Amino acid sequence: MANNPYKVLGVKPGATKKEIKDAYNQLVKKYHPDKYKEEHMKELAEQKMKEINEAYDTLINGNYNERAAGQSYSSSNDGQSSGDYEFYQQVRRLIQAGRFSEAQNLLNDSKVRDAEWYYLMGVINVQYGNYNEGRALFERAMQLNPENSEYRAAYQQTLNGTFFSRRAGHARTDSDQCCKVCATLYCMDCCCEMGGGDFISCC
Amino acid sequence: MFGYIRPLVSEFDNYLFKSEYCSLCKTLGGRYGQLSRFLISYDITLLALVLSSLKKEPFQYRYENCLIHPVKKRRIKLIGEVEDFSAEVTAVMFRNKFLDQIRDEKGIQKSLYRSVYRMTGNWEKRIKNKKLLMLNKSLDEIYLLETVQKSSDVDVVSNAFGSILKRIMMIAADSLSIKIPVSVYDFSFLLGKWIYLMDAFEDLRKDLRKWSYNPLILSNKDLLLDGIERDDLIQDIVTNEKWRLELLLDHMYDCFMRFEKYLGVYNYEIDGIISRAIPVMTRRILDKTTKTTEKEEETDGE
Repeated sequence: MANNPYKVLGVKPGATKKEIKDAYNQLVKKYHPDKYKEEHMKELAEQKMKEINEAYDTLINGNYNERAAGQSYSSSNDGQSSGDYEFYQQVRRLIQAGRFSEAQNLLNDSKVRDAEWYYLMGVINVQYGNYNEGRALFERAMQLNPENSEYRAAYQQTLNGTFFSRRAGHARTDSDQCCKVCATLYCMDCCCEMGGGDFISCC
Repeated sequence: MFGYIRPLVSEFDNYLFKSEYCSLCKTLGGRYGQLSRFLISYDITLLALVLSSLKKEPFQYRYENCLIHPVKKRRIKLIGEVEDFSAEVTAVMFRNKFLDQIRDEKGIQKSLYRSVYRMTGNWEKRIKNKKLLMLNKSLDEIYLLETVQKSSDVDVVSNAFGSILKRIMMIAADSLSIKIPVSVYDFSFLLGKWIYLMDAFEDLRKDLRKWSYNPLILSNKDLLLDGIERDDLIQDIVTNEKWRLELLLDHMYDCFMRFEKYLGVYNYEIDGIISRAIPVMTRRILDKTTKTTEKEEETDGE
């Protein structure tokens, strides 16, 4: 995942096969191991070639596009099926509670790979200290659903190092209006209790 | 590998930290001989300080002299389980460091490290907490990651070192019967990651010159293959990787916020180290990496 094949080849998502082939040929010329004299540079170039070849294979065989196409149905419109919504809410709750491995297991078992999936997987990876992977996953979520501000914010925050402080400060995005309302009510309740009143009687 | 945390000078009225440091130094001297006192590091002291605070023992101390400060008596925390444990951690970690050096160095330095390694051979017998010896295996795994796999994933390698620090805290919780909150485990993991990264940045120039393993070099191989001049290359690598450090600092502080409430009287000083000293050290190391010129480094004698 860390290596986005489009990035490796330097082409835009949705590039034609010809464009991909041209980019590939250019890179092969540029990084050919025989161009380097020192042994260690040759070794590096070989690694680079391996990456280029892998990226080329993925794009030409359509493995990457297929996955992307399969998810566009749910990412193009925000109206996910209700089953998906429930599922992601459950994953989000687990993440919120710091139960990352359980959340990760749930995600791994799911067959759908849509923007939300990549985003939540990104959150878990960043929490585990896999910053590069997390960043790549956020980028993928952003590509699949460019309008979502939550994904974009997460990506930006990993880049400028505010991801954790923003979250701890409950700087939530619009998609969590509901949570905001609950939190406000809860806060009000706490304040009222201190003042002697009670806003929500059960807590 | 250790020694990146430095309490800020202006904050050196950090008397808890200082007395923990002295206490750890004395423990090392008592258990592994006077020379081992040079192995003391602030990083392990920080772990010891966190453990002491979580153990919730009252802070007890006495005034003592020592070889390095013969005139003025210093406040020294009474040696307890935590200091014993931390001294053992120091011993295990440094035995491994010597082993690494034997594998990496050549010529005189290699034989020098070999004799040090032999000299310290009896340390492992003296380690009471046998669980700590299991760290050797994890440290060997990192060595394989670095030499055989030559991993180009900065996160994977640095996380592996982070896991070792987390492991140390788990062993501590078990053997000292301290209740350690999850956020402290997370923090020690991140601290290990940070130490590894600082080490990688500090050695970047040297590793480029000697062509030794450094994940920062391998993950930025495009720059190298493009044939950029070394000074620009280092500058570019630092620019490329800075986001990772910023995110890490943010992550560490977030973890600290979650366990600061357990720290009691130690809170203020640990806060000073995590939220001020560590970011300052990060900046200092990055500046040093980018600003040192080739000549200065040669005279440094490494």
